[in-house]
Amino acid sequence: MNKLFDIIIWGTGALLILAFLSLFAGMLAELAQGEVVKSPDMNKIWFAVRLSLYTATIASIAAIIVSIPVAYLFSRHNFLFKNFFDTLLDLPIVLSPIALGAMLLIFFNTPVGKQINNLFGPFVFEVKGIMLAQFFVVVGLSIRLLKAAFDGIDVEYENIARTLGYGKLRVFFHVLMPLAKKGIISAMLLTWGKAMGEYGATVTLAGATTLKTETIPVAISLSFESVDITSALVFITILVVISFAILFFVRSFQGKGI
Amino acid sequence: MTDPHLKIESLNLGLGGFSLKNINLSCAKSEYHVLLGPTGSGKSSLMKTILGFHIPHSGAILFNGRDISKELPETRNMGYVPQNYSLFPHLNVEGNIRFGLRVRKNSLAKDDAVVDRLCSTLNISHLRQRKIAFLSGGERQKVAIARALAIQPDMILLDEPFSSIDEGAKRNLWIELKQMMNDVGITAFHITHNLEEAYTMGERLSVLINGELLQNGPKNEIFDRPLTKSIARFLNYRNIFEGITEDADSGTKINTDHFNIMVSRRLPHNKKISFCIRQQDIKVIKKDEEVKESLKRNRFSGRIITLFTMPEYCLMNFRITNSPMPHDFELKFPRYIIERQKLYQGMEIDVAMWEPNIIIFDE
Repeated sequence: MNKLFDIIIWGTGALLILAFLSLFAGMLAELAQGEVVKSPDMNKIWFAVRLSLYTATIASIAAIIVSIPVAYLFSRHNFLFKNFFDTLLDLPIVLSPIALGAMLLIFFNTPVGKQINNLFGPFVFEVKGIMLAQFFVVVGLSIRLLKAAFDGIDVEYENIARTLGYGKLRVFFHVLMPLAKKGIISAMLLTWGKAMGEYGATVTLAGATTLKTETIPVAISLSFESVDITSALVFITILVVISFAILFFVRSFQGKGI
Repeated sequence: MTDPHLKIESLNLGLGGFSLKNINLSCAKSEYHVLLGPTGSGKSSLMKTILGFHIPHSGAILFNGRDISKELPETRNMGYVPQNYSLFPHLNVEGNIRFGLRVRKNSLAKDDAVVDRLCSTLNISHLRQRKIAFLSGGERQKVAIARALAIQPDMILLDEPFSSIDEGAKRNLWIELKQMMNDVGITAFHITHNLEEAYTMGERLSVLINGELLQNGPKNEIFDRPLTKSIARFLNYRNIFEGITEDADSGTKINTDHFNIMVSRRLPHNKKISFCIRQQDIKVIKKDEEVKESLKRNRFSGRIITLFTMPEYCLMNFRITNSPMPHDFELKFPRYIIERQKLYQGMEIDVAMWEPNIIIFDE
C-alpha cells in the first residue's frame, strides 16, 4: 500500500508538470515553425510591454498602499460585521474580472461615478481605466496576502514596543513594517504579476484599442483576432517569462528567511 | 508592608467568556511579588490589564498613588518580559536593548552608559552584536530583561519567564533572576503556575484561580494556610475532606464518616466543614511507638496500600483499619524514613498528625 501511495503522488505530480511543460513546448514549437514566423511589429510589442509595465506598477503600488492599513485592521481588530466586510473584500479574488469591469463601467454611468470620472478621469476607454480595473482585480489578493503576513507576526512584539514607549504609529513603522518586510515585498510582486496578466476587467472598462489601451493580454487577444499568431506567441512568451521570474523570485526570497 | 507601589482595587474585567472578578492586590516598592495560578486562570489577562492593554470595566489600578487604569501602555513606564521573550528578530542583542531608548530624548552618552551597565550586570557584554536567532533560552531571557530595564521602569512585569528554559537550568536561573532584581532594587511582578518557582522567588504571593484572587500574602502563609479548597488543590495538597462538627470535651470532633479528627478549636456544632492535612504533615509511627500527647489525639492504625519511591521523596497511600475507602491518606516523607522504619507495602503501621497542621477552610 505504501508503494501504491508513492506511485500515486509521484505519478500525479509528474503528469501535471508534464502537462504544463507540454503547453510551453507546444508554444515554442509553433513559434519555431517557419510558416508562422513573420516579422512582428516591434512598435506594437514595445507599446504593449511599456503600457503593461506602467499600469501594473501603478495599480499594484496603489493596491499595496491601500491594502497595508486595511490588512492590519482586519488582522489585529475585531469589529461588528467583520466577517461580512472581509468576505466583501475577498470578492474580487473569486469574481469574474469581466463582471468586475462591467460593474466599474456601470458605476461610471451613475451620477457619483460621472462626478468621479470628471474629477479624476477620464477612466472609461482610457489608460487610467486600465489602472483602475487592475487595481480592483488585485486589491483583494494584496489584502489577503498582507493580512497573512501580519497574522504571522506575534502581537507581543507590538505590546513590547508599546511598553517601551512607542505609540501605535511608531510601533507600526518601527516594528510591524520591518517584521512584515518579506511579506510586503512578496505581496507586491505577486500583485504586480497578477496586474500584468489582467485582461477581463481591463478590456471591459478601458476597451481594446490598438496602441492606446493595448496591454500585453489585450494585445494577445487582438493578435489572435487578427490571426497574427507570431505577435500573439511573442506576447505570450513575454508574459510567461515575467510571471515565472516573479514567482521564482518570490519563492527564493521567502525561502531565504530574511 | 510599606505603602503599596502598585495597588489594584476592586478590578473587574470581562474578556469574551472569561472575566476577572473583584481583584484586590497590592505590591510594595522593591517587592518581588508572584502571581500564582493554574493555566487559564487569568494571570496573563491581569498582567495585560496592569500594562494597559485591557481597560478594566470597573475598579482602579493605582501606581505610586496615581490612578493609571485609563493610561496608555506607552506612558506607564513599566518594563515587560513576555512569556517567549519576543525579542525583535530584525535587531541584534544591542539593538533590542537600545530599542526603548530610541524614543527617549537622552544623550547618546547616557544611553551608552545604561546599555553598558545592563550588559555588565546581566553578564551579556559578549553577546552585544549577536543575532537573536543564535541565543540560548537563558541568554534570550537576560536580553529581554535588559531591554525591559533599559527604559529605567518603575516596575518590571514578568510573564512566565522560565517557560522556555530547560528544566535542569531553571533552578539556577530562579536564584540568579531574584538576585538580579534585588541588585537593581526594582519592584517585580512575576506570574507563574509553577509552585516551586513561586516559592523560591516570591516574597509575597497572590493566588488567582478562575478569574478570582483568592489569597494574597507572604509565601509561607499561602503554602501553610491556604484559605480555600481550590487553593489547596492547586497547591497539590491531597488529603482534603469534608466532615460534620460535633462538640467534644476538649474542642471539636470532625466526623468524616470513615474517621474522626479532633481539634482543640471550638467550632459551631453540626456544621459541614472542609479541612486538609498536607501530605508532609502526616507522621509515620511504628505500631508500638510512644508519641507526644499532641499527636495522640489524631493517631490512626491501618495498613500501607502503596509505597512509591521518587528521586527526592517517597509517597505512601495509607488506609485506616476497617475504612471503606481504597485509601484514606496520602503521605509524603524523605526516602530515609523507608529504611529507618523498614516500611513495605501491606505493612501495618500507625500515622498521626499534629493538630496545628490541620487546615480548616473558611469557606
